[in-house]
Amino acid sequence: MLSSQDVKYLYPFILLIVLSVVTLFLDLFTKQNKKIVSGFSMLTIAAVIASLFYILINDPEIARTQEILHSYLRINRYTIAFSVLSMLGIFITFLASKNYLKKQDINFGEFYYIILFSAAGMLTMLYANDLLVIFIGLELMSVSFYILAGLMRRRLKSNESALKYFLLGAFITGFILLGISLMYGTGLTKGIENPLNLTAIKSNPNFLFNPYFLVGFALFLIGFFFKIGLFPFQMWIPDVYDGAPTVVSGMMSTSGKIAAAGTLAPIIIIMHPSDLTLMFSVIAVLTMVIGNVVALVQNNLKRLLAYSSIASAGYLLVGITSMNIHTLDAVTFYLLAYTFMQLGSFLIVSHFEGKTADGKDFSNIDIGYYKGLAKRSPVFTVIFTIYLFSLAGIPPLAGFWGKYYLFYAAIKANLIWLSVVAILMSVVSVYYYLRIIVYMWFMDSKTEIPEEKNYLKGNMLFFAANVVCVLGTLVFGFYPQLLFEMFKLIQKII
Amino acid sequence: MDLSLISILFVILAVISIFSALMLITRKNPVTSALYLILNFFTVSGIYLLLKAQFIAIIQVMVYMGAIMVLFLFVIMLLNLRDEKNLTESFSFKKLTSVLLSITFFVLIGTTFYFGFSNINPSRQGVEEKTVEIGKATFLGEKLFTEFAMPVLIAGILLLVAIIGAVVLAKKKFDPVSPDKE
Repeated sequence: MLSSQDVKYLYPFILLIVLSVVTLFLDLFTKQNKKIVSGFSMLTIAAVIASLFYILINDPEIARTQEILHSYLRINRYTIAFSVLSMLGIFITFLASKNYLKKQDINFGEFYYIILFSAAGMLTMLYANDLLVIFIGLELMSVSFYILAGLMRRRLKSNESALKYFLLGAFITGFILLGISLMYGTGLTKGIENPLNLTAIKSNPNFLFNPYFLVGFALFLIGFFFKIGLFPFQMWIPDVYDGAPTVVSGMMSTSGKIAAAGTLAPIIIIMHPSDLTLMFSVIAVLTMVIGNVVALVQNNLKRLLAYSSIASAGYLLVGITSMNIHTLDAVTFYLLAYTFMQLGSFLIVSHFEGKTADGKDFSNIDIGYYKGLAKRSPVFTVIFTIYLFSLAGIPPLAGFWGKYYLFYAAIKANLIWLSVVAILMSVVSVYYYLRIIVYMWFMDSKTEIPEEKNYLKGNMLFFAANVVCVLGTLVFGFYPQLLFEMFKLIQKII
Repeated sequence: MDLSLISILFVILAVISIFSALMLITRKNPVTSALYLILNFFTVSGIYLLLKAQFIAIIQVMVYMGAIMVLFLFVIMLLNLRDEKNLTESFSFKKLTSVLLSITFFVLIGTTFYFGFSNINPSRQGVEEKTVEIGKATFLGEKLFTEFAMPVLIAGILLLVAIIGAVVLAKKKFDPVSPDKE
């Protein structure tokens, strides 16, 4: 049963679930004022992050993986690192979203507690040591995302995005379940007590040569590749991110991806399917090519960022393919840098976004609107430029080190051709990031758009969210070891 | 191949279930499709019975056929569905490619299973003992509320989110707080 040993690792969970239900009731009783709900949900996420750090600092035992609750869950430093990162993404989203929600007429309390429930799903996935628990966590996260994508109920685009995401996601759920049941059946016929347990799978390395298990594992991978947005399963990303509310797109592309990648990467390390290296490499190359090349011709900034997130998933897979001791560190660092720069870019786009006169579509998300932005709104232009340079991988920003660690892991695993392709593709990506910067700084807008004055007024929280992102990009750019010291990870490259 | 009653019943049920699944996706009339879906659920619950999982079989009949299918039929009859087009009318190169790709996928999985059979000789001893256990409601209840308590709780939250989502997306009057009131 539940021992006190277990409970101390479960505090983040208990806090998150209890407080998100409290948020639900709070929204019920404070009909008019959404400030309380938004403040309370920020407090919730802050408490979860604090309790994660509490475990990290006060418990030396988590240096080795600790199994809790009949080994349905496990905890180690990577679990905590990934959990903190996905909670950080949600925290920044909460900070920045208030004005956007008001502007687009979707200032519902549901926004806050559905995101909190999706956070519970993410924690479940990241903690899980059992394929069944992973599946339940994934479903909780995905169902919350379907709802969030369709939050703008009057917009055709938002409805399309939610429906598309839901239908494809439900279809992919079938793949994951079929895969899990095949793996379960194989394990049970081989006489293993609990074949869905990752520890049990780890102690039977011969599993992978069993054709049933292999097919099951492949179907499971298909499901996760869909959630991360890798090559043959990437086509939903631009449509969904384009139609969903922009802050939600930012949250889905960072926290959601962190949860999926942070679940998948340890599983791949545990199973160590070295025969699949070639398959992973080919998928990584195709993902990077599709993401970067299609992004070159995008004029809609939300779609451009969506394609750039596909390309980022490709870089992540390059790191995951290496399957050595550097992999998890590199993935953690890249996801950290990615949270700051990608979420920050989405926030900037959400700041300038408006709605058309009939309120049925987004406006001001075309790249043309960003012409001469430096004159109109210099502060946000500087901030956006930092994010874009970081996304392009210009040293000394965090995005550069993210790519550096990923490609380093790949080179250590003797995947030199793959790293070369990845570096070339990230050179291609510089074009479309710099294009936005050129538009903002060196071009003049033909139509008159009034200057933005008093950007701080009524915008303090949004500005604070951007300060967090910029500081993250800069601090981890100048001192990348900080992350590894903070979570006591092993990376010592330099 | 042994011709015990169980294997004969299994073959009959399996054939009916595949037949009804095929009819389900090829019928033009959605009501007919829904009726075939009921037949499909029925045969599947029969297969559960053959596997000695009485509890799951009964749940299958009660939840899927009793509750969900009735809802399905109601929705289909309330919605005004237009007639489906013929397959040849809506033919396109894209559809041909997707059909070919899915056939390739199934052939791949099929061959893997076929060659897998020649290598593996599954021992059913331990499995059968376990399935007899799983069939009992007491066993299920005990496991769900002790060992699996945490996944069950998370699944409960999943249902809560689904309910909230249905309300958020489908409620008619659902306007945000107007700025002047705040």
